[in-house]
Amino acid sequence: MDKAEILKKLNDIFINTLDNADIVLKMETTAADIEEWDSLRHIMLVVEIEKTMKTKFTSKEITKFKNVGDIVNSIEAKK
Amino acid sequence: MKSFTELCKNIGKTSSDFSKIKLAILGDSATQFLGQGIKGLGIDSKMEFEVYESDFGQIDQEIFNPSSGLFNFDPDFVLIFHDSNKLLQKFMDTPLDQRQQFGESHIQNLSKLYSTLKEKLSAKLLYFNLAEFRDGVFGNYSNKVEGSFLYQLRKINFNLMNLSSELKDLFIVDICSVCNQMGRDHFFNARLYYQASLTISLDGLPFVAQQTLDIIKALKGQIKKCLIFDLDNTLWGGVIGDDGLERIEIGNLGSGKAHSELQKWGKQLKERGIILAVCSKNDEETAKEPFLKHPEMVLKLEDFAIFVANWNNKADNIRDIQKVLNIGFDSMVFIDDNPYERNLVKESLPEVCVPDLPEDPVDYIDFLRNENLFETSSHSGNDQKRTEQYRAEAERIVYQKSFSDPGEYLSSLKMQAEIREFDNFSIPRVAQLAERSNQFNLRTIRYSEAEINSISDSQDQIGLTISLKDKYGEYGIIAIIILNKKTDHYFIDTWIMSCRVLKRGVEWFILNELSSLAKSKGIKEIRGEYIPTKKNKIVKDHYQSLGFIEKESQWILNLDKYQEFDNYISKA
Amino acid sequence: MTILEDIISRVEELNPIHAKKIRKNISGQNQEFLNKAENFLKDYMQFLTKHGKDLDYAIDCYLKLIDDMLYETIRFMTSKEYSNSSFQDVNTRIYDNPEVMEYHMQGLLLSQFLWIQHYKILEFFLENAPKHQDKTGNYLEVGAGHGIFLNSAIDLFSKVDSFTALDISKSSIEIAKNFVDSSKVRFVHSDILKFEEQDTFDFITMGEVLEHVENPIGLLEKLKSLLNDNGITFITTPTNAPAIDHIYLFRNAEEIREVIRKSGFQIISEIQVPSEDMTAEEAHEKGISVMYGAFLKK
Repeated sequence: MDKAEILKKLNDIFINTLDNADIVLKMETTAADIEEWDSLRHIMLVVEIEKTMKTKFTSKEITKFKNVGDIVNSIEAKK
Repeated sequence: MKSFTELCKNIGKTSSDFSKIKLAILGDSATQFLGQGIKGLGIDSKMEFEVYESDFGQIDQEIFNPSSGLFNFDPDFVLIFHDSNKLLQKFMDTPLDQRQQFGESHIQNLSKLYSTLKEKLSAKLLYFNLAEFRDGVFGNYSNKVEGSFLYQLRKINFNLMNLSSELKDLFIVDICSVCNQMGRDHFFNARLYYQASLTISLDGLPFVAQQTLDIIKALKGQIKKCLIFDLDNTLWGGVIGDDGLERIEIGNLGSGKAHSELQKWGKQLKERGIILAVCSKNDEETAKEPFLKHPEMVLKLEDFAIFVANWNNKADNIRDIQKVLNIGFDSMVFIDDNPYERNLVKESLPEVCVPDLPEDPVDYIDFLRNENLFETSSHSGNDQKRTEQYRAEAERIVYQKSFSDPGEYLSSLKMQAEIREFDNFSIPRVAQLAERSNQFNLRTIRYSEAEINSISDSQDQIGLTISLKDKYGEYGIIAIIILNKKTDHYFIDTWIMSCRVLKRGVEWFILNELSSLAKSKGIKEIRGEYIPTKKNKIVKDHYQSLGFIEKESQWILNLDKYQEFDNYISKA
Repeated sequence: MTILEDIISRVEELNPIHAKKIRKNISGQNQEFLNKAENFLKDYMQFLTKHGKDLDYAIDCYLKLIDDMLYETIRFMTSKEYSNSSFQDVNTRIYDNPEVMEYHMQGLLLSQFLWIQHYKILEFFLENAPKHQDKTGNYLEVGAGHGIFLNSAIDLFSKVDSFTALDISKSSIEIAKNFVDSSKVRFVHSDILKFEEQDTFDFITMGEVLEHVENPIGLLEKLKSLLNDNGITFITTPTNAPAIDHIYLFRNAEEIREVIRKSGFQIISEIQVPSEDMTAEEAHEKGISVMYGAFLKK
């Protein structure tokens, strides 16, 4: 799976989990860009991403997620 | 069995380690008592039920309306209860010339309900079959008249079995058998029916709830796998050590027929895949004598995976049996006539199921048949081989003790392994391992059967099964590997092994195979990852012990420098 | 700029997602809270300076704690259980490990005012504990941790001249000693279950300990044996709060009450504080942590 595909799938997950259809993710997007992306939703996002993408993140990966690109790269490294 | 009132008192006594289950009940009669019965009974099995009930008579509306409360509830199980009294009302409203098709259209309707449900829900469907009763119209002659109520009622019950063998997620709760066992006079209470639309008496409810719960437990994987028999006064009447071969009661002597019947039941269970074992206070030689010499013994020594006869305490012996079989205590049933032995086992091993046998041997078999100890949720041809597998394991353990050098032991086992890509034959077993393995599982990613199927078709992933046999027998598939193909390396998405084959060097064999597979494709690196869970601590150092180097949070194996592991397994 | 604002803006740089939550927590609070927080943080700054540390160090510790919790929570959401089940294991990896304990305790210190549930529970204690001060001649705190409750107790219970502070972690006691400045306190390094005393106590506080043991009923029964017949005990424990050292999972307040009842205590008054902006029922339904606190008697 390449980064563009992963980003597209993440976009769907963000839209559903954060309940905001206007979200358009880029690799540089951070929590500062999306109002609904708070700590509680962040947890729900990661859980949902693991479930949908059939992957699991290690604790090191999770704590290094600073933007969407970090998440994409983590998935891409394994899938 | 607890009474309905006792079950109601149970409700709410949950604790944090209970498993949570969402059950929707749809009925054409009042079902709230049934819901309470199941909730209350669930507590005794550490299950906390959240129950959704539709108003009664809303079965079709709930299912055919996609935005109904049922779909919002998103249950794990849906229970549908069409009651036979209500069915009679419907039957009487059916024009005479359509009555011959009454049963058929009932089944078709159910099949439609099933497919509509399954479009939206992954829930399993439980369906009550029909308690039988006569309508007093044709008398016994009903059996000759296709358009009679009893004829159509029984036709439905029969065709429900056909339907459920076709539809994977439809399970029949056999309340007809419950009604037969109790008798209709006890199962049905006219006053409750006419005044409260309750179609099962309060005495009957706990038994119906029990059958429902048995199925749910089996579907949740809580099944009994092993039946342990005591010998004296259980498998035969009398004491072999005192009475001798000629005087023990089996077959035609004394209460022998009752004991023979118990043995026949054991034999049927063994053929279904239940592992039989013996645990008896006797000298081994004396205990085995009837099996070898008595002409009327139904069970033979080879029917038992393990035969333990000694003077140690039975709880310790059952612990040994558990170690050899490597199954949970909660999947074992122990049958013993002696209340002292039963209590000892109950107290030391509370998870083992120890039925309180009636005092008189003539009552044993009927009692045991009705306990529904061996509910199951699947049946495959493979099950019959199980005893052989475990017998082999028991022999291996005895054999292993005769070696001081583990290497010598392993090479004497003459192990052979076969490595294959996922195929139609292996996919169900792979899915089972992927769903259930907790311990030897590096990342614990759960895959359904459909997902495993798509891996086998994928260009980006490789799914492999490893099966093992040795001189004692076959283990079947004991490991699965899923590799994700990256441009310059393979990432081990899943590495699962059955705990039965630990310490055999299987992991060395597998890694050798993976490395030559990767090298043949020009790949220079294999990467792995350990994601800790509560249960997979045994593989914490897995990659380290195989020579992988930790980098960031991944484990990396450089194939240029990889030296194959010596091991004791040859490739089949 | 206040210290609190300074902290938040530094957290913002390092962990913007978490900063959002802190801002939300703080925004609903009144001036009294802000004053209290500021006083507390001033003390904390002095404490840091005294030990050659600075605010960046404290924030670093705090964010490590947040990272640990994030990972545990994500695992909890799928497994529905805590990742630890053995006390022995947690004891070796954490309580007996000064390095882990140091950042863990420092992190918890900051959480006292950054997490609404910690602050609300302390408030509840401060409001209700004085009702019992007349009868209180000696005081025990189990799991004294960073010592915040102990400090408040020393202020509140003026009649008490002997405070005992117990903790299973040596590191924890070292930190508390630094933070609690009183000659009235006797520090004891012991497992509560192994702690024996001639006299019983009039008041026992045990904040956030129940979730750290395998058998909470056993622990409460032990507490009961240390309490005199008219004594009062104050306990707190969270529901659904995965952490590196939490073992016993309470899924809702009722499960906590049941443990309390089974160990033979009666509840005098109680409070529930959800960790997110929602009602306790909502939090329970979604599996989100709620802090529970209660005053108990025999």
